[in-house]
Amino acid sequence: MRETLRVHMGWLHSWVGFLAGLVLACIFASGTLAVFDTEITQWMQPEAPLTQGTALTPAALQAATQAVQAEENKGLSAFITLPSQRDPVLRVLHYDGYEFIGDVLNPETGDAFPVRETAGGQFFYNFHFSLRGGSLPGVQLVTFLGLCLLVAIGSGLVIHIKGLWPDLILFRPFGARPRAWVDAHLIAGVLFLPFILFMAYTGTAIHARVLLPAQPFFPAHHAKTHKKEPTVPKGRVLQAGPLSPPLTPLIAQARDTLHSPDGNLVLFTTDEVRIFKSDAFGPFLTRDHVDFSRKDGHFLRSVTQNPPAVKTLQLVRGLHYARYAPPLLRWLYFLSGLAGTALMASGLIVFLMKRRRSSGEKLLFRLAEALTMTTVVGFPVATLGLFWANRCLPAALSGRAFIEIDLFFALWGLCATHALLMSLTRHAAPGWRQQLGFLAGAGCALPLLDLVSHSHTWVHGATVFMSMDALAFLSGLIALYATLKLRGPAA
Amino acid sequence: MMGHSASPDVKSSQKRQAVFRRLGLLSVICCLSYLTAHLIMLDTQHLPFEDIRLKTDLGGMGVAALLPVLVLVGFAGRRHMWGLIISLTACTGAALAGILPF
Repeated sequence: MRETLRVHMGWLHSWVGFLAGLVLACIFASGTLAVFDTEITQWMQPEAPLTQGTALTPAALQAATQAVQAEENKGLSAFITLPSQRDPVLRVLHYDGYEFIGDVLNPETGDAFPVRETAGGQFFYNFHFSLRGGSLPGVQLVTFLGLCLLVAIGSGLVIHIKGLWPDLILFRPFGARPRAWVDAHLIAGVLFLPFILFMAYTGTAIHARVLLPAQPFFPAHHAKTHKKEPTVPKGRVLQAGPLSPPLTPLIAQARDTLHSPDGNLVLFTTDEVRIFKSDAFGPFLTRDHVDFSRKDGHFLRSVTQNPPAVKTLQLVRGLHYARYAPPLLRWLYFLSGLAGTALMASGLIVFLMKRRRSSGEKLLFRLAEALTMTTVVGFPVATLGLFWANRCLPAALSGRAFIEIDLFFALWGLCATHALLMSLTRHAAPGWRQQLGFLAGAGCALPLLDLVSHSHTWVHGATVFMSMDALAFLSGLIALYATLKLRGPAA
Repeated sequence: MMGHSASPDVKSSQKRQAVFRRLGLLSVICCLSYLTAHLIMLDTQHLPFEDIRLKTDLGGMGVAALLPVLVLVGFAGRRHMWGLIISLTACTGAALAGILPF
């Protein structure tokens, strides 16, 4: 075989794409879900009414500051998120080492809604950028995989550069099975190339400093060794500050200064109250804030950053995080994310199909097939399992959020074990069918479970509940179609 | 060169050798590219900004774009080893940029 550039780069594309794709598909899928993280949290906390237009009152803000103080007395650093059009409730949140969780308050009365503890949409957000592995090794691994994705995209472009236009319009879903999968891989890759490339680049750039630190690996001998100051762990405080002054006038002043009419973030240090600009107004993810004294509420400073370099970084972050996006654009992000996930999943399957015969289905091939099954079917099964756990576990159960997450990983682990068992015993085809059948059942029955659980009324926020249920049902239908298709003879 | 008459054993041996060659080249290129990216991150600390975090983030944006390109170019350029030469040149350039007083 002649070692042409196409063959050479094809090898790189296949192996980097497959090995990284096993995890990248999950990262892309969780990122896609994280586009609707607030809405997923609302679905998972159905007790909080999503009534629009409730006015924020001083009494509610007073209750929120008291809740913050109570958290600080427990050693937790808490902050307030003010109601917005997207999330019309008052939240007092703290960092639990992975996610921001906390009480949900009525913006009119300040009473806490008796919401269930849940992992919420924040779980997918955290999984997306750290695989729930913290900064080390989680974020490092995800950043490294982002670089692998960029290499895979680049090598894929080299392979298909001549056929970019035909690949854009050529899809033969009823052709021979490998052909249809290759077409699906190409059409998703070519049609959504700008989005996937942009997301891969911005995602990698945002956390590149974690992978490539800006300190020399071998510091000079004469360099002074600085004693590390003991730092407070993230999300904790050493001592509680005084009770904050009334927040209503401070918020009004900050909103006026920052031109941010709602949804601001209110952070507390021992001496200061910091009110941040909402991320919902424009694609620049700024950290502009106005600071007040925590003792008497007098204005301290306004911090806004406008240099072009800072603005560029803010834009890169803003476009990746998509917090500014109105609902229609958010759906576009979601659909593009799904296409990216489909690209990676179809790439994994094409990799296996191309090697099934030539490998003789030896041990390594069977292991690769088991891992692919765990990624392509196991991850959606675990995700639906998380939603099922949210509705099935008792609402008042203590430590509920962690139990939900444990169930997610337990279910994923079970899928992996099942895939390994079936694949290693040369029963991969029934293994695919069984897992897909399970996924179909879990997806199609989720709306029914939501209906019979009577956990919420359908008066307010019906769009959130109906969209989530419809998407779960649709994923179930797709899995059912795939199960039925796999029953038939190979085309 | 492989003829059509080559036996399956010879074929698989040649295939294995090709894979080892590619793996070797990829490892060298990845190491060089990583070193280049790291040196560029160090170079960004000389940028005229007060905020260290800003300098690191700008460096991150640069290397996130450069590192995959370096890997691809280094791996693609096999003839006369020009891929390796480009990688070495980039690495030397990044090192010199840190040493020389620009």
